Amino acid sequence: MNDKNKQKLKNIKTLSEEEVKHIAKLANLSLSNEEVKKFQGQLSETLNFIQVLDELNTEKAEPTNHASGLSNIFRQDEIKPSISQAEALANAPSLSDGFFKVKAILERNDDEI
Amino acid sequence: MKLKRILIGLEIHIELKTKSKMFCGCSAVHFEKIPNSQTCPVCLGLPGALPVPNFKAIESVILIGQALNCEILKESKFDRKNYFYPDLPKGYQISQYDQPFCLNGWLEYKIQGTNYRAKIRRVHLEEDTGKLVHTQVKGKSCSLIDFNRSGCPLVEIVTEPEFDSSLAAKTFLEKLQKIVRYLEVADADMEKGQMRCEPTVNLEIEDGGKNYFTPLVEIKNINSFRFVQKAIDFEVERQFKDFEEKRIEKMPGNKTTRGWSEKKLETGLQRTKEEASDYRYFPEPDIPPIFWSDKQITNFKELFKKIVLPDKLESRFISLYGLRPEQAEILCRDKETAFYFEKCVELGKIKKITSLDIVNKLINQSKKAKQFADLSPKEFIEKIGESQKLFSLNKEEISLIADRVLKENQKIQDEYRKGKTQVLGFLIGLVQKEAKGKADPRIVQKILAEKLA
Ligand SMILES: [Zn+2]
Repeated sequence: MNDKNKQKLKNIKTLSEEEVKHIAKLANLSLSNEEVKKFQGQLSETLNFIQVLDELNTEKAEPTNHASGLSNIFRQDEIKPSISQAEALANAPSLSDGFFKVKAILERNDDEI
Repeated sequence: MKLKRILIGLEIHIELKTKSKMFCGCSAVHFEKIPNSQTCPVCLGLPGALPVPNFKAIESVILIGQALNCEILKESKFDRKNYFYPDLPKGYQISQYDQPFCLNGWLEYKIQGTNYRAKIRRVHLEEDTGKLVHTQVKGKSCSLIDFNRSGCPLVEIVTEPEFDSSLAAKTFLEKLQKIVRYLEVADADMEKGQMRCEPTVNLEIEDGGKNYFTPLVEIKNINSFRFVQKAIDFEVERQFKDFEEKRIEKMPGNKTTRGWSEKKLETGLQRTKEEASDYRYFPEPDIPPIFWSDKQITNFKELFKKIVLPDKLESRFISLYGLRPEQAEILCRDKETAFYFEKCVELGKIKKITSLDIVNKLINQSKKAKQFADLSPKEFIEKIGESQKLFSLNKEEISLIADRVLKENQKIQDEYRKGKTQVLGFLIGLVQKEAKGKADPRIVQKILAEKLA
């Protein structure tokens, strides 16, 4: 085993069960206990694989936040026709009186912004 | 155990009154419209749609930033804020993270004649969410979603946590509302949800020579200035009691959200707050970055310079027309009344009607549901001219009436002499009533003041 790989092994990290559950919650997924165990291994492997990027020297590279090379793309404040209510609701799994309908949200009045 | 300090920070959302939404051409006027009648693939978050920023909305945010004495960033961009909620169709909100349009400002506000300065951390632009209605359909609880509001331009203003009382927070918010209305970028009606405020509150408590900080609490669902004050006051008391009992201190990760209930007049726990890293912000790949040229920045500044803000107008009214600060403040509460007043002063000059005659009439009228709104400034001046002709009583006659009124109101006289000078207005009213409006109010005031001295 060369030095580089030894270094890699040292850096290998395993995600805790808590971390996996937290990530699942953020992704709006519910996992069974078996799945938590399964993804604990798989996610850790993926993270470690991606860690190969750490080997690149990025000291002189400017951070990029856009790949197109474009900038300052705007539109004027003009109204364009909207789609109809029927079209908007056409693919809704559940609706009521012109609204999209979802299961009751437990958190009362919680307007997240 | 002693309350040492209250720390309040404000996060304010204001809907901009652009014609179209933030990233698409749907109408942004959503109040009481047929649900889901103003949407398109962009604001419904359908795959393949391309958001394009509304320049007018950006210009409006930069006006607000300048009014709040912020620096305009030369480089800006939009970012995705990721979280799941049924009113957020894309699973992320387009917002701004590390390069907002405006940073680091301040705003002065006045409480009982003393000036205070609030520090502004940032002013950024984002899109609004859809509207949720919690209800029952066929006996089953559910939530209904209307996406008309989805994608409407929303400004977020964040202050430093430096307000030390609920009154300071409320006064600042009122000033902010007045400013965005003067800028004509928003109506900012709290009852309509056009201006929403989320105070974050915690306390510094002293106990046994040591200082402790209570956990941060963000309060949501406040829809009037009055309730801003009530909700903060409730929260201060609750946190103090809670600390006495449980002695839990502020720690990373223990910030919570509580919802204000208008019916119960209390805040209730909603959930633990997510950390910024949980939102996994990253640059919005669909919207290229924004770089302002020096010329564009100059344009933004020129545009701002053309707008008169309430503070400047108030000082002008005081120095130019000799108004008292309270009068100037009342007239400048909204731009329409202030400009109406100026127009009247100009027209009044020819008829020898002074600015003080006008201000008295105008303030009295605006108390009575703005009757002047129906009159043009010219008609208003004519009306004052007529009423002045009607002042047929001379000084001696007024003096007699004043004596009679004072005799009948010994108690009020005493109050006045004890320093409650505002009762003078009441006495003037009584004399005027006796005189059937035939006395010049300025003379009545002078005579009463002399008699009471
Ligand atoms: Zn749209």
